[in-house]
Amino acid sequence: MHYIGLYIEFIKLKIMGVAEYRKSFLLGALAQAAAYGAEFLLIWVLVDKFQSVHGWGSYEVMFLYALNLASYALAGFFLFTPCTQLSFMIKNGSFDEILTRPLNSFLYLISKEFNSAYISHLLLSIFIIFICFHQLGIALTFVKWMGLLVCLLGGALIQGAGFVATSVPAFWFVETQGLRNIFFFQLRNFIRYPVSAYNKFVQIVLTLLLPYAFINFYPSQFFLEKSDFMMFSPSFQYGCPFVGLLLFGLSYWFWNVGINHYKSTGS
Amino acid sequence: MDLYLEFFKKTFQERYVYRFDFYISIVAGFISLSVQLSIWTALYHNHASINSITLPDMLKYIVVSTFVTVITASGVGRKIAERVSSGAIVSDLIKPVNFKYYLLAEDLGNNLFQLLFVFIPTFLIAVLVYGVSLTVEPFAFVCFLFSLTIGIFISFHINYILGLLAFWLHTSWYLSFVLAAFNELFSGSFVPLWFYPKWLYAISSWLPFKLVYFDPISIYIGKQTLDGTIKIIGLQFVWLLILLAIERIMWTRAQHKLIIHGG
Repeated sequence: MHYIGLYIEFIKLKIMGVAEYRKSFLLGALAQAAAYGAEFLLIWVLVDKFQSVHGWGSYEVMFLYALNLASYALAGFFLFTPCTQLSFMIKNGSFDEILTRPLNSFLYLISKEFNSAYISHLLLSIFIIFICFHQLGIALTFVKWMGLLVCLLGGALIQGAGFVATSVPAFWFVETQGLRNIFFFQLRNFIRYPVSAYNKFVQIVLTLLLPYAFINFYPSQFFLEKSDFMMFSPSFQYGCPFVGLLLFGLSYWFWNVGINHYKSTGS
Repeated sequence: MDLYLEFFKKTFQERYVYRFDFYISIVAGFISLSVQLSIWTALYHNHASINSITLPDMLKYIVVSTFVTVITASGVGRKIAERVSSGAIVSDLIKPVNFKYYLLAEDLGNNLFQLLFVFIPTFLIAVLVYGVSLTVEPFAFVCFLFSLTIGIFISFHINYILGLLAFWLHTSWYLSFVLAAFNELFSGSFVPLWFYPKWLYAISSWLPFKLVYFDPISIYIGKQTLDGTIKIIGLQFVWLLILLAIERIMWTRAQHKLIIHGG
């Protein structure tokens, strides 16, 4: 509870900071929205030209990308800065300072460093989600509204687990940018398109080993009323929140293991 | 020239020091190539050809496009912005070195490194795993190399001009996002312009981005007639001149701007 109060204080400070540089913040948000808007447009152009990818039409593929981007933005909002800065903080010794505080280091870092730039990703992708629902003629019932909320939070937990799990090795090796690039950013690129379009090996990896498919591919089948489950059970469409909680729990446990192992670089 | 060759060599050696970094880059490059190759294979599942472009054409297009991305990458925008905000730009201007060519030499050093140690291994794996064929007519290949070279200069100048904006703007980190959006939409680096709706194609043909990617690559794939090739190269020269003129004007003004700030 104590942390929520702290978090609100930090958010206030950040908003004051943003208000100070309003123009730069707005231009930045617009530029990022333009870059991601371009990606949505290209997905639409491409899939529309070929009519479908493995049975998924252009708005369905855009929906996949929108779920991916929205949950990434939710996770990035809290975790991007602390996770990408962790190696730097270990290198220059400022992480040691955090350990001396009478607070949970993980929660303290998250509340201290949130990244407001993700607002533009989030707004853009939510806008696209509604366009897709509209174009596909799918009615947004109460159940689907709630489902969307749960799925975005669950997806954010999976993405957050990806952020944390690829940062914790910094307690052993200091530098983790390459790891994060491969296991989080590059491999996650596969879920921009329906996972069923890839070969079996990729399908299994994305479902069981690095379950990024639960961020968008499986839940989308619930929202878009599809049944494209490859060799897996249709119940996977409800898996997103459970996988999210499990993975985030595991990554938090991993964080604690890392902290216990951590020996300062001495700088 | 010798001096710039030296900068080129230095950058190359600098990169070589961080070897672990490039093992990672090879894996990352392979994954991103895999995503694209798999997607196009899936898209072509029920089509023999679309707008007379077949799957092997398309796979070739993607690999060549990755090559163009590597060879035209540029850190110029970020470098100028950093130097302007830290004030280091002043000492850059005092040095008896042409600032622009110095940055170009650094870019080329970086890109050649990336080409030899990241792209070539990535590409060899792709050929082995996906069986992509890269065969090309000798004459088309010569035209491609020529057109690509002009494309490299076009791309560098676009980045450089955008970098110079740092003299006027307080923060410019977001410009790279704008450039990325334009590049992605109008260059054909990811989706070739053959597949574009008319309106998007029309906008692209008024902009220089497709002269860096789509046009040289389409020469490589053998989808251009001799007339078409000559037209492309002519247009590339025109755009290069336009960009050089813009750059010259901005550079003169930027120096004045610096004096106003008191150096």
